[in-house]
Amino acid sequence: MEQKRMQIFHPTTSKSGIFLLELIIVILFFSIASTVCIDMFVKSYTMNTDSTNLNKCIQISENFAESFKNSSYSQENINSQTYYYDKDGFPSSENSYTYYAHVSYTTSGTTRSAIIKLYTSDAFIYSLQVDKHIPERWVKDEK
Amino acid sequence: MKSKSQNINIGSSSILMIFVILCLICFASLSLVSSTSDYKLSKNLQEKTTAYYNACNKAESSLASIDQSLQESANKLTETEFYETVGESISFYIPINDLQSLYIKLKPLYPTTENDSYYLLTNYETVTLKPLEPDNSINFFTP
Repeated sequence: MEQKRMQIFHPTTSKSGIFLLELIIVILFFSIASTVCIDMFVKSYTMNTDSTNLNKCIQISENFAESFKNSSYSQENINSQTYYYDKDGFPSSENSYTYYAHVSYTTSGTTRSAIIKLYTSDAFIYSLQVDKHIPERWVKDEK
Repeated sequence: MKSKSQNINIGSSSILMIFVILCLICFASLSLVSSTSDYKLSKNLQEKTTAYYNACNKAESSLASIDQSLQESANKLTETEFYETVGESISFYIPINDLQSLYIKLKPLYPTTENDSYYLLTNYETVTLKPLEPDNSINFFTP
């Protein structure tokens, strides 16, 4: 009787055992592969965010540089200023910004320089220096 | 019991896992490759922008020295002598990178009042000096 029971149940027990073993191996491989893939996705997301931030900051600094080059010399009597921009690179308020630009001005001889430093809320992204020649006679007149 | 044992399909979970892992790896690789190329492009843009504004800064210091020498000439010479000495135009190139340069051309002006500019910028542009070499390494089908 016992032998007959063994004959009946042995194939099923064996199949379940193999299936369980396969399932364990599958879960193990899946967890290893998904760890690698999630790491790749995270890297790609980080790089994508970095390149978006860099592109926006370059665009903002170029806009600023061109307006500085074409502005009147008498408008830049300030030593430093901070400007705030939203995620699309448009000017925004101090409370809802994504990027901000800290601009410091220096004068050396007849050259006026603007050093534009772009930041996100937590990191420095890009810096650009723009020089503009202002004839000495114009500066004297302004004084 | 017979019907229960038939429901266990050994190998189906392995096939499913292989399919899912292949999909994950494909999408993760595509995402990583795309964001890497985006990031490289952004870095290229950063280098080019910085190189362009460095060239602009050099051009501004050249313009400053030209303005200084034109001012000295204008103070010493009459209008006719001024134009005979400095010529009709002054042009120079500032290299941006291996391929491109900043071409600046200006027309000297004899000042009528003290605050007048001593030159008029006629060209301020990026030019490609070397001929472009197209990449012909791939043989495309040409009918």
